[in-house]
Amino acid sequence: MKKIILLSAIILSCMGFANAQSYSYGDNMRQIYSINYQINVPMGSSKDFISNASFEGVNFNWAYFLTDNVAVGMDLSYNNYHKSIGKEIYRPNENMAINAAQYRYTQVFPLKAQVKYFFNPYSLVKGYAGLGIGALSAGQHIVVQDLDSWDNNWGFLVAPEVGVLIPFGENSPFGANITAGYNFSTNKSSICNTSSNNRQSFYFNVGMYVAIY
Amino acid sequence: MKIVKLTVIALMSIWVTSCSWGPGDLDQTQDQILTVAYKSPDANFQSLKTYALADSMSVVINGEKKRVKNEVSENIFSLISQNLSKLGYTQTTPSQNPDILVDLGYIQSTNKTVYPGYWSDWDWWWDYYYYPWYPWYPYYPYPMPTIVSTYTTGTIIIEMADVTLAKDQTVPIIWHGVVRSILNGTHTQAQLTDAINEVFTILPPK
Repeated sequence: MKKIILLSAIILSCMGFANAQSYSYGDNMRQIYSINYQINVPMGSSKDFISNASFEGVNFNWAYFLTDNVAVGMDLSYNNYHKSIGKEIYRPNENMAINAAQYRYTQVFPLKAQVKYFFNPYSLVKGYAGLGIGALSAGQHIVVQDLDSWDNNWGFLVAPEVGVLIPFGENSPFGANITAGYNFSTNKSSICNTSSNNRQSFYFNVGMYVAIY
Repeated sequence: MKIVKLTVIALMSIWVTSCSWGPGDLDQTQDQILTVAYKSPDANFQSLKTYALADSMSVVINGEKKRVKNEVSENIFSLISQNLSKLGYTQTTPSQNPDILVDLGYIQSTNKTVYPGYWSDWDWWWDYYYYPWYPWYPYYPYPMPTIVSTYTTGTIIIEMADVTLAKDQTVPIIWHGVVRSILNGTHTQAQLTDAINEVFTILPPK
């Protein structure tokens, strides 16, 4: 999986570099490709399973401008949450007891179609607000020694976000992308003695974009 | 262009080096001691007063099973005996018709996933003490998950069978304690003692 994501990132980047040769400053942006480092802070019942923030995330985003202000596109992320829990007695029922330390982790793949509205498309620094709708896949694991109990689930995803594009120079098609958003998905999970009815998280992207004019 | 390359390299480096994947997760908990206890919901522990210990333990080494009596088995049986005495049981010998028989299994190493009962070798009771219900098969009157996988070594299993319920050449296991990986060479005698005491404490056979 890691190889596929890496390969996709390289291909995506190459597409951007190759097509970016004909840009000239002042033309409207037609497409934006970005790759970002992502941090997620769990909220709601997601926090009950793993309260720690995820610092292991990556995000790929593509936006295609329909008008000067409006762009549509796709957004794919991956993030990994994990937490160690010290030894605790767990009782699945009155006739069974387990005393063990747990290692919990959740791997999350949000995939969404997005629409973005750019407030100031002709400014050097461009701010935008967006809304994503799609699906979120989550794999939740409780590992005790080599015993792994897991639950893979899918849910409907809604994700509003705001962001800003900051070019590296006046004539540069490259720049920094900073995004903050909120993922809400309808994933339901049940694993050992834990359960949740949805997944929620704040996410923050910091990365680089390439614009195609 | 230089700043672009540096940014890409920095982003990819942060992502790749910060991830923990698959097998690495095992490192987080494999040195921890895991104790599990099961109890039959149908057992009437109040009516059971006496128990007898096996005189050896079943040892599984890469699929081969044999009965072994050594310092390790004596040590563990001694700890089991102390815990059962604390719970009010009286030790007898197998020939004195005890209410409970206690057997001990030790998965030293395995090359396959081990399910409940795999280590059991209850025929030895007949061989030694001429019980009338040979061949004698223990069964678990409650659901049991997998106990030992190919990754696990040094696991102890303690079984208590209710002889008063022996019927049709079978006998129910009424309590079952497992201490995973305690004898994998990384734990001390004090940890062994604590773990055996723990398995009798988290769900006492009483």
